Amino acid sequence: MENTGLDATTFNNLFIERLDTTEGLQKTAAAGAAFVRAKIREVGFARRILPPESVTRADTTRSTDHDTLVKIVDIEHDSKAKAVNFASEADERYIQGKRYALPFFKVESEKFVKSEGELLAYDYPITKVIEENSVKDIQRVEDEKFIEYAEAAISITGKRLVSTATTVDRKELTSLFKMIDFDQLVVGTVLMNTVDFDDYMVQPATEIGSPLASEVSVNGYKYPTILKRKLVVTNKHDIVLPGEIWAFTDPAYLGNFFILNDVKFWIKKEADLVLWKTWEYIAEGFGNIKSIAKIELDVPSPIPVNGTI
Amino acid sequence: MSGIVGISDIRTVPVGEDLTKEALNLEILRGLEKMFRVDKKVGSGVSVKSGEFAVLGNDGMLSRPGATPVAETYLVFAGTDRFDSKATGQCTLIMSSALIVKTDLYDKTQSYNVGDELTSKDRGMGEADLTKAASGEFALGKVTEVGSGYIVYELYSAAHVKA
Repeated sequence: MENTGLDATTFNNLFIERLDTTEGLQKTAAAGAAFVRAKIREVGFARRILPPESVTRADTTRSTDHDTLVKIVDIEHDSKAKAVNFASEADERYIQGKRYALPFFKVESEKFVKSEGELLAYDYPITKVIEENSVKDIQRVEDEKFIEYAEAAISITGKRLVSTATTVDRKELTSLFKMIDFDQLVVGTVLMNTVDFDDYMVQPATEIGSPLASEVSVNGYKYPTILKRKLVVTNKHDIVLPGEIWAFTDPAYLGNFFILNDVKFWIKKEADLVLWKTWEYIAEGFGNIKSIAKIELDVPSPIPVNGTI
Repeated sequence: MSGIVGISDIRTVPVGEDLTKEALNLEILRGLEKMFRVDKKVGSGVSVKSGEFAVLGNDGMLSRPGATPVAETYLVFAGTDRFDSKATGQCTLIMSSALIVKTDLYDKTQSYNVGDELTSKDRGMGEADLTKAASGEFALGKVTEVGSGYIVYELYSAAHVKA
């Protein structure tokens, strides 16, 4: 699937010709799956916060009621020590495990159809076409579900802070972190969108010091961490809304993201039509709902209304 | 690893419960080692969970407490919400054992003091938790600590009538 050394038209021509043989189809499907896997890893924010683990059917459990699969994950059970007198003894505890279930679901792209003639008209590689309309759609669903479950968690824990601040700064971030710190957890990752990240870079030298202010003015904020926490910035403003900053603990205290088997890529050629689609079976969710917090800032719309913001 | 399970909705993603919160329905602080755990058949349609109380009837079947407390009321150690209970048709009671127990399954409309005697009865909604025992009612235990959202009580090895 790599087009190194070839111009886009030649690459696309070879790609289509290869689909005319069974062996070529198989090789293309395998290469397509590898390509999609690599690209999904690069672009989704959910995977950067909660890295996925591959599982097989043997790792999962089925239901008596339907033909779907879940994976059951253990939660650390309660325990505590006690200061007691020499002649006394600590409390007893009958250990009872807690678990949560992650149901698997399928994320599938649309089935794309294109004539080989029209594919030849593209002046950029067909891999780019696949990336644009398969990879991005799939990882978008992963990110949407990730935020949907995060919203469900904070609706129970109440870790949603509404602030009158109009831009994100260190004070707002520490207010966010405290909601997780209070539960004896540590924030591992901060998630914000590019609009808020732009605001973060506007902090004056009196706030962040001259050297950093000068550096940010020239090169932007280029560090992978913010206040010692991993920084993830997304351009998906319709999933992570402007003004919404999320904090998550490290994956070990957060939840799980499983991929059953692997991402599948299917392609075939029917006469002059090339058809392809991509799908995967995943399960993602948070076992520790206390490990997520969100602050909502009162940011103005980044798009001017009648010329003003 | 594979098997067949039913799924608890609240513990299925999106999880609707704080799973890190200490489960306080039944925490036995003293007496675990020597307590008597006895399985009894559960009456048709009856459900009781760990930390609640069940009444043993003349037919040998368990039911939830009625409006009038009776001496044959026992603490449930393993309730009907478990797979093994479903398979055996039984749940596990603690019988003839004096214990110290911490629980959040009690009548929270009442205020408690150390020494208050406790019983279990239907207060109109089919309750099977603990509440204050009135004079002349069978008492199952007495309060030894009143905490925030929980009580610690001493479970009697046998019920007696509160004076």
